Amino acid sequence: MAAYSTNEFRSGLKVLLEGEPCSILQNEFVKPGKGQAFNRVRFRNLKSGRVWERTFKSGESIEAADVMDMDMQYLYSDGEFWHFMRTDGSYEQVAANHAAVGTAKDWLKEEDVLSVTLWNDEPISVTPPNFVELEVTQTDPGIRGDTAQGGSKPAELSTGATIKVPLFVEIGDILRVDTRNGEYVGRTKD
Amino acid sequence: MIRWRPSCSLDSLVERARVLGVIRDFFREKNVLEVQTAVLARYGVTEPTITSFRTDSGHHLQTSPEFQMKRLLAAGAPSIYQICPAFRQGEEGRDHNPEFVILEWYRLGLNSRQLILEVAELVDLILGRSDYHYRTAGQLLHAEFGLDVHGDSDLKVAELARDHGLDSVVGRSDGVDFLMASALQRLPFERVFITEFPADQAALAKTKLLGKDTVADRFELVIRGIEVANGYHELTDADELERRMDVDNRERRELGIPTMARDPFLLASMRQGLPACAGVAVGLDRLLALAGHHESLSSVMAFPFDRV
Repeated sequence: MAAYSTNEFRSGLKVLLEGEPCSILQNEFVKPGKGQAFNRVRFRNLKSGRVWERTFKSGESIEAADVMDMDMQYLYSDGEFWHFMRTDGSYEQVAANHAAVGTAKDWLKEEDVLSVTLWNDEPISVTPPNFVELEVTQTDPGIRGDTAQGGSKPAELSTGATIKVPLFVEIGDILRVDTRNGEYVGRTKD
Repeated sequence: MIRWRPSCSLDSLVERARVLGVIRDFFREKNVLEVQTAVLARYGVTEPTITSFRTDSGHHLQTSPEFQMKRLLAAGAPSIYQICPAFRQGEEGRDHNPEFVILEWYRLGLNSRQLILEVAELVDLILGRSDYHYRTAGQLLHAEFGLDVHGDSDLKVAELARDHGLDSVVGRSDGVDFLMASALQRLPFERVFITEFPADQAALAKTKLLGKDTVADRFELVIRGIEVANGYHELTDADELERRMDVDNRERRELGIPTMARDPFLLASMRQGLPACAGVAVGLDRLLALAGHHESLSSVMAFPFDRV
């Protein structure tokens, strides 16, 4: 397996730390004038999303992680696994478990293309597009004409996620949602 | 797209030129002579943690002008200063660039304390006046980590370093360096002189007794967590220097890195007699970055290492 020395550390580099796949966020070179050099490194654990900080002696190496981000199409969920298909024409499929899909499950619409992170060809995380369009399946009746006033109500979407929407939204509306914060952006004109 | 433009602003170049003028006026007023010595030399430093660039001809780009400036002093020069490039391989980061500018000066007859005051006087001219705090290296490590750097065992040092996030510790000095670097970044004061370092970090400084401990008569100025100056009450004993160079080379062999020949010019000049003096090196680029409140040295250098 390949290894990277601290002087090759760059943000975005994928490495194995304590057996976990991580992405380097930041690498700071620290050297006292009359002493050993160190690299203070911040990592994101790609499985848990947690940020780790570690300090290495400069010149030390850590193992590379076979991690890649791949565009894939979401097919369906069987309740236990979420199934994705490669978009490169190979039609190869992978199944991601609950831990890998995490909160992204709220934004998965069949046939949408999104980014799946694979570690040793196994999916470890799923990143939905920043914006998705989803149908409202349940909400209190809309108040017509009240498009300018504030006020909000909960609405359940086709994925099962519940978000806050303006009062005029009705069942069957297609909403544009920001997946990064789960906020309503607007209604699509259909 | 090739990045051919300078990484700093033109204003920053103007500021650098102005500061160079301030420094030259400062030393002219004190009758300190400006000198220039060779940048490329046959011999380099033996310190294991410093790697010089080596040319095909077997020469070294200087990592500091120290050796040749001391030869000038041994030859009878008065107090001298120099502003010159220095080169250290592998040192690249926000506060490091493999090529950087050193302001180094030597004052005949001064001790560390007197030189510290002169450093503060010059820094005040460039950064504006402020308070200076003083901590010995021992006080700093004890306050921050409860470590007795002169007395505690290697095991205690290794444990503390590991507890504070160092993944692997090989020797005592790795642990001490790491703890020191961590402590410096957490100093609660803007400007601090760190004095009286552990004796094994003496480099080219004299050692002296502090209570029951032998310490290096060496100081560093740290501003906002960044080391700006490193000064010594200079070692004048050639035999002791030779002994330290041999220790360095032994360590180099243990680390599996090339040994460095002892500079016979320096040793001969010290046998002739280096007058009692104190000397200090200031990282000029760092000082400029601090003066301009910049995050990185690249904001004060025309062409940092990734653009040349």
